[in-house]
Amino acid sequence: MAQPRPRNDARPAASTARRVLFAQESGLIIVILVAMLGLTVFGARNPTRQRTADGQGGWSIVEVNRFLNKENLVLLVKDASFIAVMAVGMTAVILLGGIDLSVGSIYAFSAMLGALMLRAIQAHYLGVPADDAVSSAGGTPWLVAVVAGIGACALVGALCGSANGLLVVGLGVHPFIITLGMMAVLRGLVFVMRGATPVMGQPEAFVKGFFSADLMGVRPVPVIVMVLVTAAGWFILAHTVFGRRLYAIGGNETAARYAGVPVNRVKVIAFALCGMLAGLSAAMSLGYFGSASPEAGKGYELDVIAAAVIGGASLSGGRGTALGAVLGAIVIQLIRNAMLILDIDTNYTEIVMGTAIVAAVVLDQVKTRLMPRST
Amino acid sequence: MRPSTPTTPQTPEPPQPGPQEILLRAEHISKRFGITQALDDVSVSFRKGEVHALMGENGAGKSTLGKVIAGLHRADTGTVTILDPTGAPRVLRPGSIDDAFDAGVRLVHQELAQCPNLSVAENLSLHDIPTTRLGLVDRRAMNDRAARLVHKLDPGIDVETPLGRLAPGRRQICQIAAALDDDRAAGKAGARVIVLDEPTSSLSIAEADRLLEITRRLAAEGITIIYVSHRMGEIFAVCDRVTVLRDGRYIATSVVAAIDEPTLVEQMIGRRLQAPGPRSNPPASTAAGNENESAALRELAGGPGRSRSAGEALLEVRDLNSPGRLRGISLQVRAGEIVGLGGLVGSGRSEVLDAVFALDRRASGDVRVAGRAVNLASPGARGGPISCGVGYVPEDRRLQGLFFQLGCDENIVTPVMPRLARMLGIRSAAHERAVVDERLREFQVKCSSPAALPGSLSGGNQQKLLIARWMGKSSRVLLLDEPTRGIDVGTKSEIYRLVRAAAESGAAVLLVSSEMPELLALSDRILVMCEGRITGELTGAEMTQANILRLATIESKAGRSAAG
Repeated sequence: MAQPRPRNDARPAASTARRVLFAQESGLIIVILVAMLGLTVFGARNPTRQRTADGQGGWSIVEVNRFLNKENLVLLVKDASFIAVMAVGMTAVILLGGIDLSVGSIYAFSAMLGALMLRAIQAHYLGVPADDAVSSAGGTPWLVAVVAGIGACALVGALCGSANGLLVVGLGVHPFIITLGMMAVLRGLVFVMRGATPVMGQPEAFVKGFFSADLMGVRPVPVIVMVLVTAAGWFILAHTVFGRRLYAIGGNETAARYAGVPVNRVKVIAFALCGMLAGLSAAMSLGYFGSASPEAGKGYELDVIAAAVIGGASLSGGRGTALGAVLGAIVIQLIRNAMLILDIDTNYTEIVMGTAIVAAVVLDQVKTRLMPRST
Repeated sequence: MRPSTPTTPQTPEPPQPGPQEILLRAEHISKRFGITQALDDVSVSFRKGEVHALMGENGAGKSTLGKVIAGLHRADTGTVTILDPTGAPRVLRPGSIDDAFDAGVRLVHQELAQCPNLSVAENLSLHDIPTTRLGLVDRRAMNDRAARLVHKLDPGIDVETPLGRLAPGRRQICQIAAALDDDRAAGKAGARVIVLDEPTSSLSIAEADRLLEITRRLAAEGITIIYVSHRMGEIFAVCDRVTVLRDGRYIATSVVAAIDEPTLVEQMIGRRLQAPGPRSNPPASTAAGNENESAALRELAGGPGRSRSAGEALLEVRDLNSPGRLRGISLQVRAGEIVGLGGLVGSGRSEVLDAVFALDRRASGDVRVAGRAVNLASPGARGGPISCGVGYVPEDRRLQGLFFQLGCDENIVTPVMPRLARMLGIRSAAHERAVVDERLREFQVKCSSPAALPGSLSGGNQQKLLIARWMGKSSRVLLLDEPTRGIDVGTKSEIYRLVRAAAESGAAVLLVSSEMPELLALSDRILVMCEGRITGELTGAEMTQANILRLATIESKAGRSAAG
């Protein structure tokens, strides 16, 4: 009767091309490229003060493209990277059909705990009491600072995320409610711990020595971390059992149970992962800015969710990719940047952002309808 | 009771003596759903003030007829005529609930929309909520009206409680009360015909008794009740006449007082399946005809069924209980044996499979595969059903089976993915591909590529895909729930062959099927269930539709007294 094999091999090229073309990512890349081109054209020929090359601190006026220059681009991607790293974790949760509103608070909470711990380590190495007067110079060895800093933040984030997951699964309450509660509780804890004072005294090795390190005139470490997280996220979602189980549960939870997928365990791990990446993002910002503020990360949850959704994640679950989420975060940042470049009143930013989110989802739906059912 | 005689098949009611005037006639009704002829030229007449049962097996068309009369389904051919209060005949517009409602025909149905979060009164007024002059909701008028309707049937119901807080029986009573509503836009007729579709299927005994009493009371007020049910006990308790349908065809109408249970059962069985393969139609409507068909089907499924030698007990279930679902289920399936689970819809057959597959958290009992106790924590648990080699093809492939946004390949390997993966759960493309290719070939799933989405496949191929997921070599115990539901005849016979082949290679198969010929043809033994219990085992020559139906409807007395 049927010969599946020959037919399978008949048209892989066509369907691969079509899949690539119809993927949310390619659409986003096109949007990003077009926006960049436009900004380059309209942002060109702005007189900018530049340090002269003689090294004597003199200034000269140079015509620099305000958009297309190294500093601006790295800053843009750097700003995007904090959101993008969290958006990868958010994608895992949204794939399940869940949501995590607490990432902004987890971000602040783990930055705070990580900062306090790093300051204690720094005080220990400097031999002074761990108070607000700890100096950031010298002290902690590089490896200790980096491992302890990243480890502490990620661990705190993962624990908060696990708490989310366990509560969602154990109480059978919708994630929206659980994480809304977690958001408020953690934010409150941060203020209870520190009032409104930021934590300073971070070891130099963690700040200038790593996350804020200067390489060829820019500070690219957060961007590099973002790239690594994207790659890991893509690999986990596409090529591990855990990743495919996320898609299965989000697509049809009942069928997943009937197929023997340990639904509850996968859910808890997904929330833990989302929390952990919020913690990693916190470590990045702690290292980049050198301090942890109780106000940090307020409202990030909406940017993160928006990034995931612009990146093609479906809030009803089962659809979304890590790369899409990262591109979504870049699009958001690109819009913010465009406002500056084009000298548009920043008050308009939110309006444009809101429109972009809705437009992205509508476009995605139109595309889904156009796409043939079998690919 | 009233004097009348059973009518003969295929002829409409002869004129009846006595005062009972015919209120509603359904004439020459035919209705087709896809490939299924749900109703085939059915004519029935209903008298004023009688409780008239529509009986038949699952799929006999009794519910469909009720829905056609109430205007929920539009018949392909045929008419429904009701006598106006003035005595003039009025033909109902086909498929119009409004027209039927207007003429006084109401449907009370299990699945009818109700809002459990709203109060009883609000539910009863959903279609036209009374308002005050300011346009606000007039709660008092709403409650008064609800109380007037509901308290006639059950004075104990507080019309202000949310509907969802009421016991199922009272919810049902509220639905009937809604059907009695007569002042929806003044001047319209009150209820004259009420169709009750399986009204007691989710009720406790006390609740069901209360409902039956209300049914009688309404009939005494002159309302015609069309009572769709397959419960023998209720038919004999409450109905005046009974019409039996089988395979969408009219069989007979009898006065309940003049008929006994065996006769009724005989009228109900003898259902024929559209025979797979080229075959002349044997004389219908006898149990013998059906046995012939089962034999033909058995041949189709790959030779005589009982020739295989059954090995040791592979699946053993001991004293499986689940509150409200299963009571003391014990069974054994030997290697190479196909055991059928018979019974009516809702008798707990799927629930047995769910419990064996560790999907019923409240189930307790002992399940062993090849003598080893199965961990019933979850299907994929260590030592759980999947690792013991149990495969489960669930009843509803859309809802419980397939992932429609994942490709066929991933749909197949979902349960075995962890086993095929390398360390840290990293998928091995080569291992997965080998399994996928082998299964797609073995089960002849026709798809454009292994990555094709299941939505692009035909129903039969979707079912084969689901079967391919579970019927690999590693599955020693197969739980099959309606494995051929909604698929074409050709694919059916393919699936029969696959099931037989699996048994022949030593698997233990537990099969649930509502299609009698299929059950009879495939099974080596049949266990019949009723209300969550196994009511009997049939082997060899005892395996007949009559016996299955007898055991499947045994409930009313024994089962009920145990439950009550």
